[in-house]
Amino acid sequence: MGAALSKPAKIKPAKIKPAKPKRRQNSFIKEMGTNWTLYLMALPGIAFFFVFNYLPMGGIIMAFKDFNYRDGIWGSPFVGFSNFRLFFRSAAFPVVIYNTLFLNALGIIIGIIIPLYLALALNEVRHRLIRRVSQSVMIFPNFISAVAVSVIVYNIFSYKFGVANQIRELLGLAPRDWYTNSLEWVMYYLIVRTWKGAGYSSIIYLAAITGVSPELYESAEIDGANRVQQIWYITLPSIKSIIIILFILSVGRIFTTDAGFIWLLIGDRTNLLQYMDTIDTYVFRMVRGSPHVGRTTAIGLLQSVSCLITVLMANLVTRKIYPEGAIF
Amino acid sequence: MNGIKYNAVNAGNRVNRSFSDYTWEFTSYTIVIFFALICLIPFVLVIIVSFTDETMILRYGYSLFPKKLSLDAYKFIFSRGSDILNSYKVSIIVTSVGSVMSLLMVCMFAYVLSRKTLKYRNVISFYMFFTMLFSGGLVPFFVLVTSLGLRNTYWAMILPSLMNAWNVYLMRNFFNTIPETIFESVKIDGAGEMTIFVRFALPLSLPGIATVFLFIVVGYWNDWFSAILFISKAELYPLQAMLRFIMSNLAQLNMSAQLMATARKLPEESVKMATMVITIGPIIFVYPFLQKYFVQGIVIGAVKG
Repeated sequence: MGAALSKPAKIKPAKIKPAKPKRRQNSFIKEMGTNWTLYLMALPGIAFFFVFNYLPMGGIIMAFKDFNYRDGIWGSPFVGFSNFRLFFRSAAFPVVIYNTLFLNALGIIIGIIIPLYLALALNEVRHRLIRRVSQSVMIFPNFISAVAVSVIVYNIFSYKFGVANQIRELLGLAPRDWYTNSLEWVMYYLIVRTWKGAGYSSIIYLAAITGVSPELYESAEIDGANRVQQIWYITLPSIKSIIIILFILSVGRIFTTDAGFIWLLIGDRTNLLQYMDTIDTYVFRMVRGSPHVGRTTAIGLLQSVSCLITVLMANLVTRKIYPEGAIF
Repeated sequence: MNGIKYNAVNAGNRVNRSFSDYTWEFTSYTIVIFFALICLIPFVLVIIVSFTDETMILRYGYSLFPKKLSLDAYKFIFSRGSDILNSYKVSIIVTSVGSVMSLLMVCMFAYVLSRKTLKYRNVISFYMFFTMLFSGGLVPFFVLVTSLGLRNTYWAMILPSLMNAWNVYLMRNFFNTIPETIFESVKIDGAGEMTIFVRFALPLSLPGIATVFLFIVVGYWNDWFSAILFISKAELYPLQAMLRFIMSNLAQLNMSAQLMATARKLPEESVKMATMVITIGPIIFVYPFLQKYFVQGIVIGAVKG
């Protein structure tokens, strides 16, 4: 069918007449006239992004106002940059910035190394059943909700019933309250995140690894390279671009954390906030409490702008040193 | 060894293996099996605890090998007028209505982006791409949804997550695999764009649609954040929000009078775990389908997106 149908299609380009230079408006109207169905189909999507993405961008103006619900967005008085100044001068500012970058830097490194290592290990497992079952099992946590993950965390750390304290008991130790040390929770947070996402991310690497040409391995083998050397000199260089792309994507998120997820882990325990309070959790707490709309919007704006700059810079650097890895 | 069980893809049938090769292989098997067990055991524990008699939990804590089983937790959840059952209903409504609407919009938008003959395709594409780069932040979004009057309605949980650029790109990549010649020839036969979309583009991308649909369904089912932000009435809590709620204060739930009379005591811990089980239940149910499609899905989405 495809061959028969493609015949007239080949004739088509010849029929196109060289476009006469017309006025611009005309070409717009003409395009709308010929493709109106397609534009109509895009309309719900365009409307959606306008309402739920672009309108909130307009709401950024609240960052420069002393917002109150009585006067609304337009009526509230302008206060210039005082919302930003308040945030910069607050004690929370250095803490949340530091914590966000610290958590994410660790998260990025772990989020690349562990899935990559898992993929390499999975590639080594040639027993089909073990491979398939373990792959299915390790991807599963990615599909459950953050709430369900928090239930599992509770299962482990619950003072009365938790597995952690049961193990301590077996070792002859007294049960302990696990919710006391903030730095410890940075570790738990990273572990839980890895537990949830590593299996899933490893699939991307694994797909890239299976795409590597077997001939490369064969010739390396003839040269006497052992398995580890093959991975170091063939597999890793071959999947370099996907590693770099995923690295840029995660660097682009270095100013964002999942506030909800952190909140589900540590709840409202203020004693754990010392290292766990990020920009997002700070904003989230203010939103749930009595939100000072202007100040929280200002913080959000700072965050969005920082994100944008990081993404653009990361992409620019990649384009310089490794063009294939650049996203745009 | 047994030739059938081995994949001859990468260095499978090698004869001269060194000691380091064996070490590496052994470590790989160990790591993979270890990580798989770490992923599996928590769920097994949750399921077993949900069937454990409450007195046993109170005495021995959570255990993989309970001394006494019981169905009290599930009896409690499925009793008439139970809040948990009601939130199950909310979740089903939100997920089904949201997913169908979302799939329709994503497909239409992605299809438009996949049509290379369209003059303003790049404009529309950038219009969407920019939402990935920059956002107004949580507070303006919160103010927007509130001022649209969506608080404490189903729509607050449905509308904001109807579309995201990621799903659209994923779907577009599937449409992109349809050869352009098909569109051209069908068009010459006089078919309109709508006909091409419904009769050709959609049927030709069924695996893609299945992938995106499953992602959307799981997204809606697992969404709890919008409920936390916008829903304060307990009767509108979806299952995820309910699960979070009962993790902190189970005692406030409605108990049917019948159950109150028979139950000696509220089986608190096992009810928490049983709720978790019914929360992830549907995910387990669709998981075989998910697995079938999502590998190609994330590869297409991640590599080409």
